[in-house]
Amino acid sequence: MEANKERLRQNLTDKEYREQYADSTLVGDIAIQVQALRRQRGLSQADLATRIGSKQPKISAIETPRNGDRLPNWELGTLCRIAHALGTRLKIRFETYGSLVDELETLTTESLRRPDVEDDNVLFPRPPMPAPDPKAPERTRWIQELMIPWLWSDRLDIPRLIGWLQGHGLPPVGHEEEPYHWLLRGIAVKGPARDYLEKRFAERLAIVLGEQPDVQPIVDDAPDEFLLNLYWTCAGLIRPGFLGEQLWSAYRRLKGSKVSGAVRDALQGALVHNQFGETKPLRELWAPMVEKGRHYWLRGDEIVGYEGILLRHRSVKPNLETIFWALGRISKLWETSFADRQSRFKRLIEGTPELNSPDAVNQMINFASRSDSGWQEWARKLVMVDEEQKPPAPREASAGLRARAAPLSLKLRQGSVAVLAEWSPGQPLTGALYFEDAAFAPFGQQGFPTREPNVVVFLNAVLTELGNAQDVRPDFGFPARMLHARAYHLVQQSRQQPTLHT
Amino acid sequence: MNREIWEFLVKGSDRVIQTWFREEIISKRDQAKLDVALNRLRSLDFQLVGPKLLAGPLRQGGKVYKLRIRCENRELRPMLCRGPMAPSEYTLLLGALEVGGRLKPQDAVLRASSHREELLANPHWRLPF
Repeated sequence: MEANKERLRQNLTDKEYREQYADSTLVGDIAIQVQALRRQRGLSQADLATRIGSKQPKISAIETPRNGDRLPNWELGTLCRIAHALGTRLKIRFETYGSLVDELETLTTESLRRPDVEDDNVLFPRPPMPAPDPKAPERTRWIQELMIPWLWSDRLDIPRLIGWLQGHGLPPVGHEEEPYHWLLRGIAVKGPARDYLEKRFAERLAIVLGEQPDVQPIVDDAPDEFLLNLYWTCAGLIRPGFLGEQLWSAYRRLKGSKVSGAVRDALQGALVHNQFGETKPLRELWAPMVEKGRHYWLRGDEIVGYEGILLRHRSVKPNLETIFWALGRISKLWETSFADRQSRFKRLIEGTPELNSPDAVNQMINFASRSDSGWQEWARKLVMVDEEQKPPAPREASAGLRARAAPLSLKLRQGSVAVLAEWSPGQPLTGALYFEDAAFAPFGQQGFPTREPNVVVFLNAVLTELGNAQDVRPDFGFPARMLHARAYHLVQQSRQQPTLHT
Repeated sequence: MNREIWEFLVKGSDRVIQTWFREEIISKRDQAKLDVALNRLRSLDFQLVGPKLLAGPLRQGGKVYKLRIRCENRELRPMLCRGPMAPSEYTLLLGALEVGGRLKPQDAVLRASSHREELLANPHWRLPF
């Protein structure tokens, strides 16, 4: 370092050199610090651009300036907006050329980081460091005692993480316990501190990923084991803002190359949970998996592709239509593959939390019924609900209500199960649920009001009966969800008609 | 993380970058740009250096990277590698330029790659840059 400083000192005595060196340092420092702070916050370029009311290329241009002979034409206002968006302020001052010599040894990744405004100790006293989970097993508490102070500290100390990823300084690891298990247990504390610890952990993992250990091993022993643990640790976090870009870059570098299946699986797991952008992983990874049941390099099948699409929906871009599209492609794939395709398909839908709400199920039914949905007939039959309403078509109903003459009736059928209900003027509401095993459960003979039929009351009663039936007849679960969703849809429709409430 | 930057010695004696400075008449301004870029490599994590400054590994080059430094009429493209003796170091392997989209020398990537092989066989063929 001293030799470098002396060489720089001598060079700075040359006017042409020092002016260019100062300009390049200025531009480079701004560019690098914007990037460093953005990564520290777990923001993509697009996220930061949105915060300043601009577009991603603007941030890209600032982070990677053309190092030509002209200085970039950045506006002070833009830089100030970026500073505020990153929870910092911009500071500009004039300095001597000689100060460049001292700056030579002060520039580090850590020197560029700044706490976000809510973590600014001067403005807001920092909460106490979280304690290990007292209910955790002893060795888990032990690793938490190691990791929490490490993550709480402003010092990144990446070599320590690299050691841990190799199993150094961890509880014993063997066939059952890998370093990544311990590292993920080390941040599993209760309460809001977990979010902070996860972010700081993801930030450090991103730095290790950024070293490109897939290209140039950064450990002497067992580099594949190191990669495996690095990727599985990432897979245990859902922090796409921090990890997505680096994992995607690793995939781009590695794809097509000869890498062990175990490493590919670990990378795939990490990519599922930490997706980079809205389109690239979908187009290049998940879509081929759900369409063909495989990927040319990763080892995932249609279920992994579907999981990737679900995680995309949860963490990157909410979009139910893509989930419905994927189900359609899977139905095509399974058309000839599995004899038990119906029960598999039901399990797939039932295992999708996004399809728990009646609204989402109803959207799925509508999607599946479209001719261009890609859903195969057998899959469509599983979800389609036959409807016969008289007269829940809202306007007819309202007309009927005014005339005090229209009975309300509803028949929904899904496969071999059905719900029938009827409400005539002056009569109580009656109905029944018909199950696959020919059993039926009547409802409504007693206790329903005998006043004038009302569409909303009528449909709500049907909805309640369907909900109750799901609880007492588990075998009724899947079709009941479809029937429930349609009945719910009809309630919503009727509520949108103000005349019905009068 | 502070990384050492080394310079390859051709046949164990000629400093490859100093020779390039002389042969291609690299101006003081361009040397200043190169020095700033090398300071970034020394001081920052690899993810902050980024592919716009350090591109690679290059096709045909195995583990060779190129620094991308834009100058007035030409671009400096010194070739280097990570390591190769330790993970936290770089070695400058060859000076190169890019003019009109063409490397000068044209076989710069291959030559840099062969310098890297020579260095692996003769680990003392380098000096701190």
